Parts: sequence; structure tokens; C-alpha cells
Amino acid sequence: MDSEEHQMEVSLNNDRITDLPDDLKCNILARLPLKEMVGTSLLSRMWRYTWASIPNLVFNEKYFMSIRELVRFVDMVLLLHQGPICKFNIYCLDFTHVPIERWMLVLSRNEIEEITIRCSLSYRWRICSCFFSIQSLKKVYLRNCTLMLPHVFCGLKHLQTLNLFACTISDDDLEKLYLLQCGCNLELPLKFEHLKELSIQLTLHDQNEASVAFFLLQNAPNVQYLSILNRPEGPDDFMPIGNLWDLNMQKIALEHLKFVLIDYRGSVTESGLLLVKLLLSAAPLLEKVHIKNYKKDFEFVKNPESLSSPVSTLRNRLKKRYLHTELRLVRLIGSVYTLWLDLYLSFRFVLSMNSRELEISNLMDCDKHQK
Amino acid sequence: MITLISSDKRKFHVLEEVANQSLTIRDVIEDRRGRRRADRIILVTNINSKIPEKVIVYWLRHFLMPEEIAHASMSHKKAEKLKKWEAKFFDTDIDTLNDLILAADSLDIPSLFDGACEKVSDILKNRSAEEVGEISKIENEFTHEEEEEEIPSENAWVWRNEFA
Repeated sequence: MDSEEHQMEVSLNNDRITDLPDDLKCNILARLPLKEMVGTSLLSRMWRYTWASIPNLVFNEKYFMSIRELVRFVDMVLLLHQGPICKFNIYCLDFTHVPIERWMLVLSRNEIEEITIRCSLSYRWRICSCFFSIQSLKKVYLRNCTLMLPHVFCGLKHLQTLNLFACTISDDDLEKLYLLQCGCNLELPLKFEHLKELSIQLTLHDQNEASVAFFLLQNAPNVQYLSILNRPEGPDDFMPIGNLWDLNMQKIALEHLKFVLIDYRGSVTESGLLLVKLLLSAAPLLEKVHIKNYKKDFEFVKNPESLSSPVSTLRNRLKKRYLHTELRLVRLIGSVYTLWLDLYLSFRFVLSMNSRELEISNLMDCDKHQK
Repeated sequence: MITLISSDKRKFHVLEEVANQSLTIRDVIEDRRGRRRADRIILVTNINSKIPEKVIVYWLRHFLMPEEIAHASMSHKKAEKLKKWEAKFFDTDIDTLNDLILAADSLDIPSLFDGACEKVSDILKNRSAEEVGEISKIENEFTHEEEEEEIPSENAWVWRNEFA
């Protein structure tokens, strides 16, 4: 194809689209459905292999009839692809048993920057060790994965944004983490030094899932934006997680954390309160805190202090480590009951020391009688 | 006020605030801030005069509501109106769209770039290779063998499930 290509007189006809620089052509191609994208190879010699160099690969199950077809398609695209792959997205919520491991292996050999994997909730993908060796990663979204700690983990040094949805850690690795934490002054090297944005969706009282959050917070000291969404499932068996929190308390330092969003999606539990406690004692430069606990049927309470005084668990446990002079806005949205009121009073206390007001948006009450 | 000069030497006078929507121009203005008026002329050599007209029309439309777009807090009615306007704006021949893509790329105007790329891909969507070739005047210089045998067999995996 090469020798013939050079003889072509491109400017003779009015074919402007072929004259576009390759990266712009790829931009148009990337907006076509995959099959039509490959179909452009029939247009002319200049177009024959253009599709194979598009840097952003997005695979969506909706264009495929079966899992088999999808898998084969991804395999072939990765096989025939040339040049760098910057982005790899795969959406397959309906299909299970997707061989992500082998695709990861291919991607780890490219300078991939962005990976999005949204798999079916009934299929748990185990993140293999080659994933942790992809040093070029900048942005990651994972859903429903089990993290397998590699034997040697040097960290993902360029990672900036990390989104985890219902990710967990295997029992063996949990043990390993515990050992690591109990091992006195074992200094951890920086694992995610450029991580700025971290969103985690997890079941707060699930030990394995919470450990993932701890592991990340411990290793990402430069996080600026943190969002934690709770998926309330099962009863809150508080004790084991309580230990985990206390173990971690001294080892987490989030000196760059500015914005925190916590959504309990249900009532605040002990482990939920401990999370707030941890963040307050680890992040001196907090600026904004939003905490929600949505419940459907609520009733507006204008004066929360008129409620009966709660047992002040959080306030008592809160070590006055930092003054939080930067804290400007605390927004509590949700329904009022014992633990929630506790949160309210604690924040009012912190803010009153800096003579700032606590903002309560729609502080609502649905079960103030519950005790 | 700044002056843009197209490749065919036509001059376009634009308010600085309007032209600021091009990140390239914004950087140039920033570099030349405080200099004489003669320096506020920007040569846009790779674009003919038809395109700056369109680009400026696009700028003016978007200039009216820059903040609302940025914060996505536009009212539903306004968003609908803008959408309609953009559909009309991009409803043009494929050559103009190509020029718009080039211009948006070199002037760094992300929304215009995305809009034009989207429109081109819409035009190409759901069409056979022959139709696409016709519309975009791509000359098919494949030999008969290539077209009938080589390429179809090369791409058979896309359409036929040969392993099934």
C-alpha cells in the first residue's frame, strides 16, 4: 500500500475529508458505531487502515448480539490496532465472563491513560496484577471488582482520578493489609502521589469493601476531592470495622483534602460517624463538607436543637487535632435522629471555634422519636 | 477590538471578549497585552474568509450565554432553543464542516469542534461505503481485486461470525 499511496494526487479532487490531519479524522471516526468505523476501510487506500489507529476505544454491548460477538470484536480490534491507545471503555452490564484479564495485558503494553470498566453486578472481575503495573494510567473507573494486591506494587504514580463502584478486596489480601498495618512503623512508599479526585461507592460496614477505601486513603496523601457513597446492605456489625478505623487513624494524613461529599443513602451508622471522625482528624485544610442521608418521607424541623439531647459519641471521640481554620461550608442534608444530630452538634462546635456558621439545607426529620 | 485576517486577506473586527472563546486567540491576546494597537491583529492563515464569518456567528450566539453554558444551569427552554440553532448552524455541506473542524482545531474552540465532528459522523452514519464515498467525494482508487476480495476478506470478522 505504501508505494501506491505516495503517487496519489490528493489535491486533484475535492475530497476535503481525506485531507484532514489523521487525529481529526480519528475524532470523526470515533463517533461512528464500531462496525461502520471498520467499514470505512472500504472507502479508499488512504482510509483503509485509518480506523485502526484511533486512540480511544469504546465498546458498548448495545451494538452486539451476544457476549461471544463482543469478545471477538474487542479481541480483533486490539489485535489489529496500531499506534497508541489512550482510552479503553467497555460497557457490558448484561454479559458475564468477559475476558478482561487478557485485554488488560494488551493495554498494559500500550501507554493507556484511561480505563473504564462497567461490568455486570453479578460478575465479579478480579483485577489482575498487570493492571497495577500500568504506570501511565491517569483516570480509572472500575465497577464491581475484586482487587488482588500484587506481590510487588510500586504504585500508580500518574493516576489522577479514581472511581470505584462496589469494589472489594479478597480475604487473603485483607489479612495482608492487617499485617502491614500492625507491623509497627512500616513506612509505605507513596503509591498514588498524583491522585486528586477519588470517588468510592461502597458498603461502609463491609469489612472488605471498607479496607479498599482505607488502603486508598492511606496511599493517596494528595487527594483534594473525596466522595464516598454508601450502599446500605445488610446489618451494620460495627465492631470489626471499629478496630480497623482505630488502626488506621494515625496512619492517614490527607493534608490536601479540600472537598468532601458523603452520602449515607440511609441512616447514619456508627461506622459512618467514624468515617467523619477520621476525615476531621486527618484533614486540616478542609474547606467544604457535604453530608447527605436521604430518606423519602420527611418533615421539616426548623430548630434541631429543640430535640432531646443525644449521646454525643462523635464529639467525645473527636481528638482536637486540628482547628480547621479553612472550613467554610458544612452542608448537612437529611433527616434528624440521634446519630445525625450528633454530627450536627460536632460540626457546629468546630465551626463556632472559627466563628463561622453552619449551613443546614433542608435539615429534615423523619424519625426523631426513634431511639 | 481585535482584527482577524483570513488567508484571502479579508479583515474581521471582533470584540476581544467574543474572540476569547478561542483558547488560541485568548493566549495570543494574553501574550501581547499592553502593546500597541497594531499588535492586536491576528493572522489566521489556514482559513479562507467564508469560515471566519461562520465562526464569528457561532461566537456571537454563544457569547450571549457563556456562563449558563459553562455551568449547565441553562433553562430547558433556552437549551432547546440553542440546540435548534446549532442544528441549523451545522446543517451545511461537508466541505464547510471540514473547514470548520480545521478552524475549530487550530483556534481551539472545543464546543465548535465537537459539534462539527458530530455532524460529519451523523452524515456518514448508516451509509454504505459507496454512499459515503459519493457524499464526501472520496475517490475510490481500489482495483477490482482489492475491492471484491482482499478487503472484504480482511474485514470479514466484523460482519461474519467465522468462528461460530
